[in-house]
Amino acid sequence: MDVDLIFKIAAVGIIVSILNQVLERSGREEQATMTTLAALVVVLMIVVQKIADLFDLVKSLFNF
Amino acid sequence: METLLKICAVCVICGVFCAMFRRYSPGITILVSLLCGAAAGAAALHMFSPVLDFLKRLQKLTGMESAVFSPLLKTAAIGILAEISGAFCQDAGEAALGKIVALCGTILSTVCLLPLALLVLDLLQTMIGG
Repeated sequence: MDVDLIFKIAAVGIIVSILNQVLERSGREEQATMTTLAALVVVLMIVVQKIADLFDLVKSLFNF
Repeated sequence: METLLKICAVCVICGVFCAMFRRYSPGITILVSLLCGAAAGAAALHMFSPVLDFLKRLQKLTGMESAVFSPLLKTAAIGILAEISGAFCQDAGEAALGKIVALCGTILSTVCLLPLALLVLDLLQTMIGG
């Protein structure tokens, strides 16, 4: 079971939330939003790939 | 057993992480939860393959067509996917989407079982002599 990716994305989440807080407290709310959005898009690209792999596995196991 | 322990440990750690960071970045916590669910699901499905091999052997022994067993497997897969996807939509706060996914799963399961129902209908017609 590949857990490294989960922990990497959790680390990205922690970094993004810290950056978000720092930028918001500095008064740079637009940059905070852009940073969060960029991180979200990157993580979504990775997750979609893994979800596609899961669906392929289900298709092959259950004879779709 | 080791795989189950790994799945439990990873899911618990992921749950704690999501609870802690939901307030700060809800989008990424949902994605982390989704990734963890996908990884755990993939690991669980790999453990399921001996059961599927047993079912294939059973099918060969009984001599029944794959048209009888295949809808059962497809319905099981549709049910699992619809249930889990609906739960993730509800976790993301989109209860309506979750219900729609569940409804689509029900409709598709019914469509999958239609060939089996037609076989039964043909058998009944043969027996009744209609």
